[in-house]
Amino acid sequence: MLEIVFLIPFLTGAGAFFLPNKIGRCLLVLTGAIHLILSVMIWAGRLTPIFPEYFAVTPEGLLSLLVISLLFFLISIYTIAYLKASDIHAENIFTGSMLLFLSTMTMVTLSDHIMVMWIAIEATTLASAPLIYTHRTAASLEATWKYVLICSVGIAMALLGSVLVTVAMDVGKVDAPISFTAMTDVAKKMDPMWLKAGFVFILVGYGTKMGLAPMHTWLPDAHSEAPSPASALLSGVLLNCAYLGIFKTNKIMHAAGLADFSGPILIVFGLISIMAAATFILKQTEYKRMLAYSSIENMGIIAFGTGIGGLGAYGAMICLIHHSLIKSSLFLTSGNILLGFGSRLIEHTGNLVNRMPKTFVAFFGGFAGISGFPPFGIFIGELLIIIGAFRTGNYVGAGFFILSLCVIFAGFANNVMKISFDTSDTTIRIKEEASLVWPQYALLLTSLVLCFWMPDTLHQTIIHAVNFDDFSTQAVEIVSRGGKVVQLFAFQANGTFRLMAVLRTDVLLVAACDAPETYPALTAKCEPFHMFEREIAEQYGIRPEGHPWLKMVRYHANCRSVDDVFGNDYTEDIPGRYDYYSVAGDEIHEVAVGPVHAGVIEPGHFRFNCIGERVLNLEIQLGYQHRGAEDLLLKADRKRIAFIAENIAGDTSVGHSLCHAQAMEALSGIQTDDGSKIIRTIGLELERIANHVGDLGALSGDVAFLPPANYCGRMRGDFLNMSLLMCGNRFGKGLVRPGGVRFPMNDDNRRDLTARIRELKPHVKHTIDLLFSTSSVRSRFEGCGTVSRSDAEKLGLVGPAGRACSIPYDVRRCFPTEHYGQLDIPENAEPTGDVWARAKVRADEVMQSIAFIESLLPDPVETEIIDMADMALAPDSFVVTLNEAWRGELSHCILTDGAGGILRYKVKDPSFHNWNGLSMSLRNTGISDFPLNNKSYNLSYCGFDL
Amino acid sequence: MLNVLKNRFEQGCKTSRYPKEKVQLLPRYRGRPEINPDAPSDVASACAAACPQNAIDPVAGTIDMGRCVFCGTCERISNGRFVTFTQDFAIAVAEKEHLFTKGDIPTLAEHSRQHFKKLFGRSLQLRQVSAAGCNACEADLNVLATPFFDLARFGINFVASPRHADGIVVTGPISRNMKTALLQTYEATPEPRVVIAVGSCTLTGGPFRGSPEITEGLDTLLPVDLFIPGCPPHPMTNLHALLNFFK
Ligand code: SF4
Ligand code: SF4
Repeated sequence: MLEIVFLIPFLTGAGAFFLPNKIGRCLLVLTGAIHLILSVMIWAGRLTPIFPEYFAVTPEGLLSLLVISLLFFLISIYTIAYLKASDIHAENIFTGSMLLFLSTMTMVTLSDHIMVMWIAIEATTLASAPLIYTHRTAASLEATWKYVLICSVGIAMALLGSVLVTVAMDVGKVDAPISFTAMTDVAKKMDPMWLKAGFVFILVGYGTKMGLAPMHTWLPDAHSEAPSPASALLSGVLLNCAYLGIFKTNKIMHAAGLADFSGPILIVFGLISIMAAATFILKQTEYKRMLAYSSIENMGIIAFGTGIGGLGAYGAMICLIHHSLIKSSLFLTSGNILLGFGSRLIEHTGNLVNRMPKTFVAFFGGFAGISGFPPFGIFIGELLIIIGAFRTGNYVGAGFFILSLCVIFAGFANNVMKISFDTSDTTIRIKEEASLVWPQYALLLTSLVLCFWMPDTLHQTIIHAVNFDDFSTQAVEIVSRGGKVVQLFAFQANGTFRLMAVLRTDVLLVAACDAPETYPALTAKCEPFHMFEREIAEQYGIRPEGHPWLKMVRYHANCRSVDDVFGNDYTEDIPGRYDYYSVAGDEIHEVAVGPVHAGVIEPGHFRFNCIGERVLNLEIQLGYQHRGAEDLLLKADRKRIAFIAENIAGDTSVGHSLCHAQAMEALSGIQTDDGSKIIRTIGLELERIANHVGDLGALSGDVAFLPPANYCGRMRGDFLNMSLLMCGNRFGKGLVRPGGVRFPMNDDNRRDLTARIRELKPHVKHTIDLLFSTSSVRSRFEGCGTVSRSDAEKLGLVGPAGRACSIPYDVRRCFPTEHYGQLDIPENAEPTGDVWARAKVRADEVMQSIAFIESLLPDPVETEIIDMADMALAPDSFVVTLNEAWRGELSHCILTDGAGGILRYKVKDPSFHNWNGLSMSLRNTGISDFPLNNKSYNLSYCGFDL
Repeated sequence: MLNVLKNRFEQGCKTSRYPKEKVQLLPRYRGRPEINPDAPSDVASACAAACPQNAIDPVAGTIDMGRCVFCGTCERISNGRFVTFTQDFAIAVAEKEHLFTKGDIPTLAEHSRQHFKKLFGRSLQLRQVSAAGCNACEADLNVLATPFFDLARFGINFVASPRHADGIVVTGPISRNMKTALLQTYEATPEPRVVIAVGSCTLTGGPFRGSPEITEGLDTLLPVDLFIPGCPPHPMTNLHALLNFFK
């Protein structure tokens, strides 16, 4: 019964024409209230369309609908007071038309069918024309005439455009319903020529209605002649409706891969509109016209942002919402000024601050908001658009954009100053009805609140509006410029499949979009997506077309039970049975190792292609350790999940439990105390030391220098015992839990730890010195298994493996959590990228970590120990946590559903990046150096296999 | 050279004298659980409800050490009234039933297979198979080769090939992808062969219980001779188990 939301205003509107004024006014507010309730129900997903082929709830439509509904309700309240204060001819026609106008606009937001959309937009013109003619003056007649004529020509063009789009389907021989949703799906197959033509006509057509220059000429007249409540609707929401038509068509263009065509056109129209508005605002003598030009400016901004795409499109969406709220408030306020001063000319006003103080507050607040003062949303939106423009290299456009905004601000400010502060002949207070100002306050307040607190579902609705092409272009863009992929994964929400990316530059960036069934692989343009796209293909059966090495990751069936991307038959539980990359030639031979290895280590298969002793290529096939941990985290009882998360990699128990705990804390709003932060930091550093020390020993053993091998083995145990001392487990299991830590650090513990470290530190130091000063060790370490910095960047190496290739990134320094913000984390980059560099980085980190712990032990540590914190997770939320585990960047993501249940749990162990580093190290390296290289990385099998 | 010698002296001799001398583990270590049979039933049920591993049977008053990960939650919430953990690390058992404990664990040496003692008492070569272990169980087996424990002094070694081994030591919850490899390694080990299951994962699936990707208990696939509980078992538990079962 979705259609009911525009049927009700249609019926009440039709009725209002014939009813007495009093009843008409009641009907107006009542309809507004019912409409608002219905819209919220649609938001909550309670109403479904009866005619799904014509109507649908799309994210962008829903957004506009909510804005329309809220605005109309507040405006209707204002209208009552306004009607009382001014006398209007044929009030029944006015109220009737307002309601019909509401009905038609609602229909626009909900229509999915290209022709229904057109009809609805045309209907808005017809419904709103009588509103402009309300005052029955010559000027208003002219304005109405202009409006109807120009918009009708425009709308005719849009009709032509819509027909051309359907022709594009015909020519492309696609058979699909002509709804926007369906067309976006088949856009690839549509004929690009006709589609382009259709887009241009639609843009010009609906652009006329939206008020884009140079088709904007009707707008200033119409907006200034209409009574203020009607102007508020015209400007606040009618323009959005026209924009929806363009937005949806642009979406088809994106889906068809024609963003390169539609983007620049939108940018040009946007800039022309902004610049036209700038010229006219500067010398404006009427305040309502000034506001009208400001609307043209804002529509320009929105078109510009949409053309930029990505961040810009997101910014445009934000501007759209806030412009509606603020501009309609301004138009209502201008109604008050008109009522008070009786003139539309700026020079007839003045001293608003004293004469109408309440109106002044609304007026000035609106001015601040519309001019893009922080913290209003327009500021955020414009900022995002500018950033987006710079990111896409649109420097010239951004320049014009910023310049025009400055001019507009100057013109606007000048007039506002005149109206507000100019001394007028009298200072007599003009009477102000409360109900003539609070709707404006409410609108401004809504805008302000949305800047600081955006309901998550609304936020998702906006994020949702970012389509896949923008998503992928932006992601590739950011990563090609040196950004890194922290996470990229698929998930299922409300029946649709979506992608979520977490990227980092010097900040963390998050975006989500709907996942296509197949899509052009990002890896083809930008290497660091490589493993992530393979993982998505394996987990969700979404195929990245043109991926250079589309190979399974862990060998398991996808969760959607769709055809396997790799063509595997999983009734055979042997991941290693697969056609390995192979090299042909007389002297080529292959060596296969594993899954069961010679030592006491985890399983995995290694396939070497060698020429003589030299390795040409090492292919690593993992997946033997796959325990289904991510899925189990969704299914298992809450009391178990910390244990599951912690054991994803037992040698990184503290790292994993810390990432988990921080994520749960963020979602449940639990704070941890300072003492627990210190204990967690010590726990994570002990884990680092123990592992590094053990591996330095193993490295020494592999080059047959036995003393350090034995000493390190023993000392590693001593560090593990310190974890045992802290929490009763040598691997720190059970130390960290959401809410804090499970064991206190009392004075005895501190003394004991201090004494142990004091005794051990010189042993560690001397052993490391011995190792690195022994020439036989150096000669084996140096130049062995070198990875270049550029390869490391492309593979996305993290942690010591990355730092050994002069990538200094360290989560502890770049995104510090727990107590790390207070520690001085040095940059440990080494330039050579070989075994020596990896060993050196790890040895340095051992000594640094010992120093960190020493610095934390002297002061008493007070903490409230916890066991199982009671965790109610925020619904519809997303959290990502990062920590520098000993192997590098470790990250957990949690997405929650509407009830606060866990919708998706995604874990990325640093080894997910680094295994390919080991492969790269082996290129052109003697096969006998494999163990040495392997230990210099010592990667996690189970962390990778999850 | 001088440097090497200096280091040698600094390090000293660190090998433990176990089993000739007792080893005392740190206070927070949680070994053999002891259960108070007189605990009020509501306390026992509260522990059972809070146990992440559902290892507690409040009516029988037992803990399934195969499932238990020795997190200590039960001890803490019962304030020691229902469960207390001792520092006794001798918790390995030879029969699966013995994993369900009220506090006393049958002496391992008395339940071991006598013919194994005869065959392997002087020399025992083991092949370790990690089947989806989290690398903590593996690490605490590996550590037996370091100077402190020095397993080789008892004639016990981990070897590279199952063909050279007298038995296998399995860790991890035996993932679907590792099952075939594990069974093939077992087949490749000459008879008579020993099967040792190490860690909560191998005993019952451990923290990963309930995942369709794993096996809940090695004993559903192979005849297990020695069960070593823990998550992971302390190296001393492993050492004690090997010495008492085979020596
Ligand atoms: S120590 Fe064992 S029995 Fe007690 S709560 Fe933890 S897992 Fe359960
Ligand atoms: S029993 Fe515990 S330590 Fe051992 S593999 Fe399983 S999770 Fe890891």
